Amino acid sequence: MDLFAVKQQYYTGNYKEALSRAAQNASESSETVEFYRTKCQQALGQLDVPNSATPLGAVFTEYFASAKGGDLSKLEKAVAEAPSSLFVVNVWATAQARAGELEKALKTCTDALEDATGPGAVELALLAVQIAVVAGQKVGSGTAGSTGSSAGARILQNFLAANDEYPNEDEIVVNMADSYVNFALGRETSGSNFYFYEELCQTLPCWKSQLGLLSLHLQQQNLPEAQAVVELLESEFYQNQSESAALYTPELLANKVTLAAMHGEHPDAIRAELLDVKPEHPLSENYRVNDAKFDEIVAKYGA
Amino acid sequence: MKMLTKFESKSTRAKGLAFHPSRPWALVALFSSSIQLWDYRMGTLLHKFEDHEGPVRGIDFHPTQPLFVSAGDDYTIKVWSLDTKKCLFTLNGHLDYVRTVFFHRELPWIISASDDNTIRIWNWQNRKEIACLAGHSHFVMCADFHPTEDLVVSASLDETVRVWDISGLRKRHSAPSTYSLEDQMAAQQNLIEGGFGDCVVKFILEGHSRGVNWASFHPTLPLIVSGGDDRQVKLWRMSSTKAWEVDTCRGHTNNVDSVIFHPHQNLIISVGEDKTIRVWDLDKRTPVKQFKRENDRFWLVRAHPNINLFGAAHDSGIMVFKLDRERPCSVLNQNQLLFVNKEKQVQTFDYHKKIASLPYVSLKKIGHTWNAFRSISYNPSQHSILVNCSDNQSDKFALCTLPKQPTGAIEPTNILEDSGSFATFVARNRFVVYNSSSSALEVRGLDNKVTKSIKITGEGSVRNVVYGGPGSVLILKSKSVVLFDVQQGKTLADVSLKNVKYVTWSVDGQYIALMSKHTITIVTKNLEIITSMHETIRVKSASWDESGVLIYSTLNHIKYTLLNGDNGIIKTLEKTLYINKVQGKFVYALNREGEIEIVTIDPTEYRFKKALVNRNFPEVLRLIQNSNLVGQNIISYLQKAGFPDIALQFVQEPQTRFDLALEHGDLTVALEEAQKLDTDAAWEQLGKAALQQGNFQLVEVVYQTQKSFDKLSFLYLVTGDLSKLSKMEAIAEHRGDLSSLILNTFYSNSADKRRAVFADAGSLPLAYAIAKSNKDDIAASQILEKAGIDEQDIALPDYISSSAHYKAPMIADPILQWPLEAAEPSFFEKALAGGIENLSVDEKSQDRELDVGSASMAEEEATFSDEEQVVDDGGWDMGEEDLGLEEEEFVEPESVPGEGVNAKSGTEESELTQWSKNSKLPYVLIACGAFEAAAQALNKQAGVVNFEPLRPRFHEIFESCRTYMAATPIELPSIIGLIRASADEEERGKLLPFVAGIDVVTGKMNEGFKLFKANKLELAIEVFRDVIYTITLLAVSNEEDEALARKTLTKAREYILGISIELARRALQVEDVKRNLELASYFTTAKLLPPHRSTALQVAMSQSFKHKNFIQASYFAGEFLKIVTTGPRFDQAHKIKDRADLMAHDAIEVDFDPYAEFTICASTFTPIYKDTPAVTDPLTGTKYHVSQKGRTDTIAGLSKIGAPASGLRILL
Repeated sequence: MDLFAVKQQYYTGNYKEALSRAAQNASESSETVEFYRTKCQQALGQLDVPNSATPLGAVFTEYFASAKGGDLSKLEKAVAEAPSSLFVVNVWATAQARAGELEKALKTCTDALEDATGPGAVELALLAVQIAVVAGQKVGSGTAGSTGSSAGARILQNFLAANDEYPNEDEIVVNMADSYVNFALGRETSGSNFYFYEELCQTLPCWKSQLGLLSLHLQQQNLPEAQAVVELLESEFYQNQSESAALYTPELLANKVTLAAMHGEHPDAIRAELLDVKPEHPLSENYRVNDAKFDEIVAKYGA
Repeated sequence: MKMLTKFESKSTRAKGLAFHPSRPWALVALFSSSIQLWDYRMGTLLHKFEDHEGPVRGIDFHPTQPLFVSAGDDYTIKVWSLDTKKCLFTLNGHLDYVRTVFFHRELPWIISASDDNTIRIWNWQNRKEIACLAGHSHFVMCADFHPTEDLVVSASLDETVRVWDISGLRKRHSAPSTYSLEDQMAAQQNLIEGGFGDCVVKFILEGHSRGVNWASFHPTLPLIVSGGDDRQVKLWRMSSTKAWEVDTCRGHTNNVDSVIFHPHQNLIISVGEDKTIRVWDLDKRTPVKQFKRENDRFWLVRAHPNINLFGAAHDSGIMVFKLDRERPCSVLNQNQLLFVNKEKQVQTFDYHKKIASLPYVSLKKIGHTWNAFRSISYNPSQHSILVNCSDNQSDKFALCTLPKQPTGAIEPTNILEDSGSFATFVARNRFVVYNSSSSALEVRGLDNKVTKSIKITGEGSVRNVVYGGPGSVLILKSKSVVLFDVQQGKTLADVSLKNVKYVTWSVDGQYIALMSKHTITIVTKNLEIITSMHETIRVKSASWDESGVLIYSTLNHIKYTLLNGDNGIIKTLEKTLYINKVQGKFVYALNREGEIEIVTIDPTEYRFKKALVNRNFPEVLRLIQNSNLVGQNIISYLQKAGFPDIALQFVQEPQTRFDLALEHGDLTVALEEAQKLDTDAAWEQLGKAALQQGNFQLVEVVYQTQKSFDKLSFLYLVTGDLSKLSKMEAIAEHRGDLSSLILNTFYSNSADKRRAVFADAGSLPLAYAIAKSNKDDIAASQILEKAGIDEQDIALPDYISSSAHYKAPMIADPILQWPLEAAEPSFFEKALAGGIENLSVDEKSQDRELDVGSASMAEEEATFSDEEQVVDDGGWDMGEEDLGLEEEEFVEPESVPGEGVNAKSGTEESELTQWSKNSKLPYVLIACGAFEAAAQALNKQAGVVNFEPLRPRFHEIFESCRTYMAATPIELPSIIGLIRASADEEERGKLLPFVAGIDVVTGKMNEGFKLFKANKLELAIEVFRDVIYTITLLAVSNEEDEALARKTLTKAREYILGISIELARRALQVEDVKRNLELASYFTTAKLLPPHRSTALQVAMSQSFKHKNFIQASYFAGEFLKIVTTGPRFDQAHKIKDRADLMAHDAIEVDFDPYAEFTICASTFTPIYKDTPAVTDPLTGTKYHVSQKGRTDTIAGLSKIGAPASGLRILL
């Protein structure tokens, strides 16, 4: 079974392509295929109820139910009932993280990752890395050793130490995790992290890879190049990819705010749009928190 | 080292060979008695010279004149003209075979060596023998001059090499005028006596154990190399007094017939009857390389006098070859070229700055000393290169990390060497190496560990592996090119092409140019062939320009090709160049010395053709209008390419214009030109074309012009124009042209007329027949009567049809147009017909890239760009009031506001902690999210109490140093990346957030100036306040920027103050004249830029004059004239000043003394005279009356007037 293409497409955000590649492996009844297939369908907004009777399918069913505002208890139950699998853990941890329970989600991941090898391990490692990073970045989170980008880096290191030889198809997953850590830590900004996204944009140009490149340009203060990526993503070609556009427009808006601010312009209109379309975006959250802080300042000194 | 054969001739045994110093010509002396002249570049035999009897052995081109010399077994030496291809004269004197002949490099001398044991020197200008060097006791096999000194070296079968001193000969023969008559007499005598004494043996070199066949001087060192029948090559050294044997090179297995030094490198090259060419290291006297022919003994080897080429003569012809490649290795990376120079040092070239860097490292120790590198590959992520080279047995590569900064040719510290071929990076952390023994492509990590090995199967051997896009390579095989995905280990595409050597990707990565020796094939990135072309001259390099045109170089040309295969020559080259980039009109290339050359080309022709092919007519039009594209070439191209309409635009000459217009079907132009030409042929052609298009009116005009009456008649007939047809009948009658008249009667079916014509012309029988057949019995009888014949005498045909064949036209009106060929005007015609101005022809589109340099220059220019000529009011309406100047010629300046002006309208906790540790500036604190701390600092430093206006600034600073990346899966929160002041900063103690530079401030300032000029004062105030907010929360990294920022803050303050005063003045009631005048005066005290201050002065001047405050008006006019020195405003001010000076009194007393020292209170707009108590705003430094203390500053509205403060800090 060769999932190389499926993973390449999935992690660069070409969900349609990934799905069609996964369909070529339809005969395979492996959890891996099902995991990716369901993830792609979800990203494409095609999924209300997963059409699968497997244990993972059942877990996904509950996952989607909880996404619609349900509580996590049903999902937790389904997870407990399902036979132990790293993909099930992955879904569970994702749900926890989505619900804002980052510490718990991280623990779920790290517990399962100990000595974990085989299918799902690398995917779980990627998730753990991101949760650790995000937890450290969450507004109001304290400095802690257990979360943060350094913790993310450690998780990745440990995983790689335990899995010296991972299959070729998983390289993209490991690279992705590596890139997140580097991005959050400001490492290799003009080096390998930049070239990682540049290579992705050349081989698999799409919303997600272009946005990654945009962020790296911004980190390097390459404003004209960043502007060019923004224009590219706003071009007809990208705007016509409606599913991706819908998924990733908030990220584009957020980075447009950054770009405008870096230019010394006032990004109020763009920010307002982001606040509207994705109030839970970190930029939106930061904005609200900062604005409240500022209200206090105005009140304090104005008095 | 590699022998690269450039040319081979096939003939009988070749004994001699010579290279022309400048042209690609080689002379070959054949054993068969003839001499061949070859163009070795084109591979053509140019001429055969036949005059010798028997074998020709010696041959040489003159270094500068169109001459050559030959010698052979007929004992003669012949001098030939290259112009006439004839033998000019023959030098006789030798008594046996002549083995070699050579020209002297500066004197008109020839030296020959002969089997008669002598060497002779001849003057070819007076055709005399001037010396005979005797001494050898056997055949002299070779003799030549020293390249710079007065020496001769000879080799003989007497087993010796001799060095002769000929300085005496030079003295005697080269400058006779300096000699006395006696000397000349003596010289003559001497010559007669055989020249003894002029040429003396200096050294006799003994050491060869058999006859010596060849001896050569080193071009610069005191060395001689010789070869002989003892199969040895011997190296000799000489001083001024002695010569000795240095060493022997053993290896040839048969007689060594010729041996030379390499002109530039420390190498010896020898050939022999063992059928080998051998290359030896001069310093170590060790063999470096040998090349063997199967069946041919070598007789001679020679170096080209100027370029890096060698020739060897052998039993079946000659070969011209190069030792090793001369192409400098290079690789493109973004806007840089990385290349290896002649000294094997790595340098970069920056295309923007157009400068080459210092060397990064020296790679001399990599690979074999004498072997050039094959290729390099660059990894920008690691800043490392892969160098491909080979020793004599196998291919090797080295991975070398470059130092960050180029500091000189240092030894690289970090080198990883291994065997393997064609090492190429395929990703930032992987490269591939081809292992020829296992035919496998190995994927390796940066630690050189093989992570994967892929067997390369299929036909043909692998000749090279080059970059094929991320994760892929192009495998160049002997018969095909394969695009191979290394990650997945599978072939993505392939194309059958033989011996592709070089590959160039287009800028957008869509096309690839695949080059073999003589062919360029353009394929898509999926290896689908687009076009292919053959070049007779070797293809050397290629590069795509930004617009997708391939610019390539051959040995002697720069050429272009479009994707449709259209190609042409752009420039002729004197030296071979290897193009690596084309940008606009600049071609960047490496020469064989490993230096960058920038060649300027004219891209018009190919851009024009490309625009045509793409039917980009606006661009075509632009090029036609803006460049001087002319010439038969472009016209015939356009014609061939099917664009006669465009070709028309280039031509003035009527005949060509006419032809083109006809081809294009443009009858209007054709008619115009036909009228100019006015030849029968032209009219005829035009008539045909008009007929084809069904333009009968034009056809009519043509026939009328040509007086083709019959054709006209027929035209009227077929178009149904009966009235004109009847006129034609009348005309024919008038002309007396009977046959034409008759024809017309047929066309118009007028039998009566016809009958009358026949009758009048005396052809009564025919007239009668007509009358009869038309049943006109009266007329018939009249005719009979006229003829005096009775009806019975006439025998009419048995059968006369009474039916009329004539069919009357079915149409009421004649046909004027019958368009057979739709002549829809081309886009081009439409454009020319007047739509030009509507076309969005972007004049700058092609030249934009060329402006990059100047644009960046402009960015560095003056901070404030508002330095336009002080000649107009901009948006300031100065003329709404009558100043009461009686003189008529005094014209009020009129302008409309706005006219003429562009009315533009989570973070990683530890790093944030580090930022705030590294700086406590409010800016940095905000970037860290520590808003309260920042507010506190601002309050202390600048007394800021009203923070509301700074709210956007706080958010923007926070947001300007954070970027967001989508998580996987997307439902997770995005990951935040911080943006640092310097992306590559590694020292934690220096980590700081991104700061938008001082140019943001100056940009805003300029925007404010524009609004001011456009008289949009409310908006201008907002912008100037924004400038103050920006500077209040700024961080700069150097004192220069800090000073500029503070200066700008003051400037913004002055503008706000000035504008506030002016706005207050405008808000006044009309009757409040005194205050009006005061405020107008105060406005002039704001420290504005001169052009803007002139506006304030003009307001004050006009107001004062109008209200009869002449003294003040004169003062303001005087100030104004210091700024404005020309133009209508100058004239106006001048007049005001003159008139005001005459009046010399003020009608209203105002509180403004221009000669007193004061500032204006920004709150009350009243003067604060010197030594009066005042308070200052801690942030903006604005002055206020003491009464204003504790209020909010009116300028920026942020700080408390007179509040204690430590001073704003903005320097990091």
